[in-house]
Amino acid sequence: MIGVAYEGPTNDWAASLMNHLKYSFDIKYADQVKEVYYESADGDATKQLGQVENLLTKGIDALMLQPLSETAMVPLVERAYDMGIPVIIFGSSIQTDKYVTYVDRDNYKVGNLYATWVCEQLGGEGKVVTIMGEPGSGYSEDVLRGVNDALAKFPNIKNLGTEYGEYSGAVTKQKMETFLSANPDIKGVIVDGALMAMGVLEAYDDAGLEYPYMTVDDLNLFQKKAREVGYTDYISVPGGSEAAAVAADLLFKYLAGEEIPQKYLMDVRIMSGEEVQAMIPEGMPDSYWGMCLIPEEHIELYYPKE
Amino acid sequence: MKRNKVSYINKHTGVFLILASILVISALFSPSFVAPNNLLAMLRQASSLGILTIGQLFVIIGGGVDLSVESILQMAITIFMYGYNNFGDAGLIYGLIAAFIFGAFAGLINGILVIRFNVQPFLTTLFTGSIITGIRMIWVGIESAGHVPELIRFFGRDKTLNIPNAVIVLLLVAIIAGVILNKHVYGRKLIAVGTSFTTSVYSGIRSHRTVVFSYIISGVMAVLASIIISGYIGYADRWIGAGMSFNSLIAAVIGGNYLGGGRGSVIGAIGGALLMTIIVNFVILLGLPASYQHIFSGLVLIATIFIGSLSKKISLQNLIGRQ
Repeated sequence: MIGVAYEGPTNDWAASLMNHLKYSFDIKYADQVKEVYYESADGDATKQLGQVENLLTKGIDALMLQPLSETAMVPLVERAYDMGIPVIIFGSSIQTDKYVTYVDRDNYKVGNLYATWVCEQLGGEGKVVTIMGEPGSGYSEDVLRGVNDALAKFPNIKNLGTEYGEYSGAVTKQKMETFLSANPDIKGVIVDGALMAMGVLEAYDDAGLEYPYMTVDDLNLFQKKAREVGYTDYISVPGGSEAAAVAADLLFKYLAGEEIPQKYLMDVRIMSGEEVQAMIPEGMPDSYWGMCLIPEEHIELYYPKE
Repeated sequence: MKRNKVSYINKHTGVFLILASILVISALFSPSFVAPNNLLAMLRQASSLGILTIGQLFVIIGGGVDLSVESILQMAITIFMYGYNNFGDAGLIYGLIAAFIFGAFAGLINGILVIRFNVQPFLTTLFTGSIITGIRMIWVGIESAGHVPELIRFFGRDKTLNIPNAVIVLLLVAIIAGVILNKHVYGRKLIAVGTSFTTSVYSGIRSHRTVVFSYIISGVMAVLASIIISGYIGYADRWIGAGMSFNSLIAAVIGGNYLGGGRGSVIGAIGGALLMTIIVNFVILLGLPASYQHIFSGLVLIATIFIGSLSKKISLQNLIGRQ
């Protein structure tokens, strides 16, 4: 019996994470699973506390947790550890090491790859802007550290500012329009999210400027837009929701007695737009992600074709 | 009697004084910031919030608040995009009609709950908003509804004679709202009801109906704002407009409007929405790090409210002095 506590389908990324979990337990490892208790917190850390507490009373053999708070979940994770329940952390970190393994994307490396690529495309000089997700989020700060470290290696690149687009196209478009009003010569935009990247393209469109070199994740929404307008000067990295499937693999390896690392950061590589678009089967909805670990024969269960 | 110059200062002085200061300082940093095209671009950015704030203003004048507007806005996008995605251009028209009917219906429910069942407007509209969001999630989940059609883009992005259509819509809404509030009998009734509900009832005003209608106006404005904002960004993300309920309330208040009801100004509401929008652009222009931007924006908004209340105090002193 396995307990799974996760964010819930509050956005495309979280929905993909959930789909990977369901595929792993309902299909891939169905023969090894007696029962799975899913607890969806709808993005609410307080709600998740109660859910995990509840799971620990059900006699589960393992707990898979996507912590919605780095600190609030610590006592419960440590309690599970003390009860002898193996805990797998995935998708976001937690401030304790009393778990079997922690699986996530290497977010620092993502930021580093993003900024390095943009600076290289500009030949090491010019103006750029950085657009991150949420201010104060540990995830965004990890990516930003990678961005800033890379930018430091290009002294002739001027980062006009780091703004937070709050994963909103409208917010990002407004901020980008402001940057462009004073600096129409911005040639590179480091963006950490597809919805925000849509806002950047819109701002350039409205200003009548050529699209900049840009970075983005592998969400189909953006890839479709890029294909539609013939935009190719961007790179993508996997969004990281596939960490849920990797975490499930590691759980079953652990339960089978194999050794697994305590921290597993999925390696990332940059992909061209064409490369990502080729990974996306025909007719997939906007919410589909290029780096999907659900095999093609099962995809329609989770992503019905449009 | 010679009129004292300070009597020209009114409750909206704060927001427009701050707006003017921001534009002057911005011009020193970057002359292009105050170029006509950029000013129009900022007006366009403020249009959806402005329309939402005008709707909110009607509710505020009647003595209530409407925190369901962002949920109505998001549901409206879902409704008209459902029509468009499934039935093409004709579906879009039916979807738009259905969205407006929905907005009016949601306002009707809000109004009835507040006035007939005497439930706090703050809680009522917060919960109806939550119910609307829940229904939307059950209906369509989080899946984006895709790129919006050209008709919607026409209102949110395109221009007529170089003026953004969103700004034209905002101005039309503002003029109509101004006429209703200042010249039409409904506006006078709403002000009377907001000033004293009991007195208005004894005066023979159909107070319940008047308040309910203010929520209907707010619901319809939310649908109009949904067209502008989705047309501005170009696709129908399910969470467009998040945070706009509170922003419209804040915009109305910093524009010099009074949450207690009984008075309110469309010009102030637009000033508030403009300030809420331009301040974001201003802190970016100043190049402040994100954490300082919050502090700076907070200080500017407090200064706006302070100047607004100071001007009210001066006006009151002048009035007493004249007597």
